[in-house]
Amino acid sequence: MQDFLLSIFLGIVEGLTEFLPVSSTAHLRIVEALLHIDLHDGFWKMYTIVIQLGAILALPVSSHVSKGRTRRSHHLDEPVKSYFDRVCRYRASGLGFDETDRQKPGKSLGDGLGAPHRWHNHVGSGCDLYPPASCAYGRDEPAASGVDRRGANSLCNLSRNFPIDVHNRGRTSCGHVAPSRARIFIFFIDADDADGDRV
Amino acid sequence: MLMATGYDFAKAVMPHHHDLTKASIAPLAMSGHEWIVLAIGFVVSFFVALGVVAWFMNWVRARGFVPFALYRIVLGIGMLTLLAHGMM
Repeated sequence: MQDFLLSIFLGIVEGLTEFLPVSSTAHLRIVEALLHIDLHDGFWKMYTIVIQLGAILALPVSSHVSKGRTRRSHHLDEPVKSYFDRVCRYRASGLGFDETDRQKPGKSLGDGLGAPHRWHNHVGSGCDLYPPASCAYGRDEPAASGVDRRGANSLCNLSRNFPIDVHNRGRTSCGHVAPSRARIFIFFIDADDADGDRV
Repeated sequence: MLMATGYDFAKAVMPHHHDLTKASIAPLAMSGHEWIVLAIGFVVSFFVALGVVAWFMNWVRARGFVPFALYRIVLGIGMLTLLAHGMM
């Protein structure tokens, strides 16, 4: 029984310290000294190597899981992503989003996977998303900000064509909200729209 | 890391031709009890490390490496103190 408990304890120590910028070997040595056990010879020597192998294997498994999640996310977001790539006009950071926003629930543009944040501020032509409207997306949560009525309406229309939710934070209304994992957030800022109306 | 661990593993399970005083262990000769202890350690370290990898990325992004540097300094001072007092 004591061996089992010791095995669990050493496994936890090894798992905790292997990928942290602290020495896992040193921590095993400290445990060895504090518990007055010998991990240098015979079975326990091999044991420390095997638990290190177990901890190391967690890295490719974790990476594989993350890649699978990213692939699924990209697949889901692809229609919205391509649409945004085509029509987005303005830098979203100047229109109510900034780098810290991805940390805030409900206003998140973050990817949730630790990948670098990506803004899309392409300038295209012939788009039906009227400027001034801006959109940006994270890997998991496409997001957009419409800064005038026409921009907001075009974002609402977007929800009719793509499986996205529109979360209205401004003074406009969306007649249709499609259920989906992807989300669009609409924000208004004090700006004149294309018709000169202040919204 | 994998290669280094594999090398350590090979050294542990193969006979020591150059140093016969060192013990080695043949996995096939291990008892059932030892296999279970080994499996428990392997599984526990795997899942704990899996959690740490996921958590660590967010931690570093939010707080950087400074807490780990402080931890290492404090731990080092603590170890040196214990050694100086003959407690380790």
